[in-house]
Amino acid sequence: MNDLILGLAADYGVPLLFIVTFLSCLALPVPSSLLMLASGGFAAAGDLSLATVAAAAFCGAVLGDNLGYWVARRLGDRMDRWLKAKPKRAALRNRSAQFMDTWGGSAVFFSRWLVSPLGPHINYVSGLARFHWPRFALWSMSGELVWVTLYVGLGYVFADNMTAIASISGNLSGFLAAGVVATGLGVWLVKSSKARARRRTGGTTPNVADENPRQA
Amino acid sequence: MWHHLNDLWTHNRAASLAFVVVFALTGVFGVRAVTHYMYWSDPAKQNQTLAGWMTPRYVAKSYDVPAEVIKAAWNLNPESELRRASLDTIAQELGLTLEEMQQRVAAAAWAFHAGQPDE
Repeated sequence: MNDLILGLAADYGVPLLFIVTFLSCLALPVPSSLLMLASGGFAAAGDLSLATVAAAAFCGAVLGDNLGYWVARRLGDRMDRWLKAKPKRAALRNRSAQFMDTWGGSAVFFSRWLVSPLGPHINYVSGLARFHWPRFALWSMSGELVWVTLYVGLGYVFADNMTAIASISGNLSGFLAAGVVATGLGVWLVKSSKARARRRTGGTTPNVADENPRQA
Repeated sequence: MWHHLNDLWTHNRAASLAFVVVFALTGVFGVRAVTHYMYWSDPAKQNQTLAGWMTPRYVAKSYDVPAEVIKAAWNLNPESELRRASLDTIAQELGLTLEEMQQRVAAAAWAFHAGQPDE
């Protein structure tokens, strides 16, 4: 899959990069980081223009982010009644809103580049939570600027050995994303276990804490 | 400790299993990042073998040789510029395999660098 996409990058260049970064922001499993590295490398070799590569990746990513946001927001609005019908569904939306209230801009910014595998999901969560759109767009653009500069820049600088930089950065990015998810899950588990313990010892924590420790 | 684990297993079984899986994944990615870094830090592994996704100009850059060396190695027209196409495409046009292209480039690059005065 990866070699196939990279081969297409050589043959189709910048338009492919635009399409792939766009699709990756909608949570489609395309190797966008790898393609940015390769395009940066091809720019260093003189096959593509560095400015065009950076612009295409940036525009594709920002468009994808905003499309993801608006699809989730519109879908959430349309399914308002459906979401409110069952407490579990309503809780999903409330939890998204609470998450965005707490983390908001920084969640959008850091999920663009530092933990980029989580980015598309944050787009959907932001839309579903009706997160303030201008703030979303601003943080998305700032984050994508870092993402594009980082990966296209790495590809450009380490063009001599792209195989090495691709394997190292791919694993590092996976490490960071999995680490953040593990930490989040761990904190959530500890909190909900503590909430149950408090209830058992006669605390007055309301029943909803079982579903959502943030409210405890 | 045991009491907490038991409590989680009873009340948050799916989330606990997910945590174990994601935690293990973190470890796997971390170890791979370090081992790959160590593998590629070895100067002996610096020269990349040709891959179908590379372009001729990229090969020239990777092997640190001018375009002319690549053109000569693959019998390309010395008058025309190297164009942007994948080696898979070019190999098909030339009727060569990637291995043959690899051998020719390695030999040409070696000859080129041998002829260069030491910097």
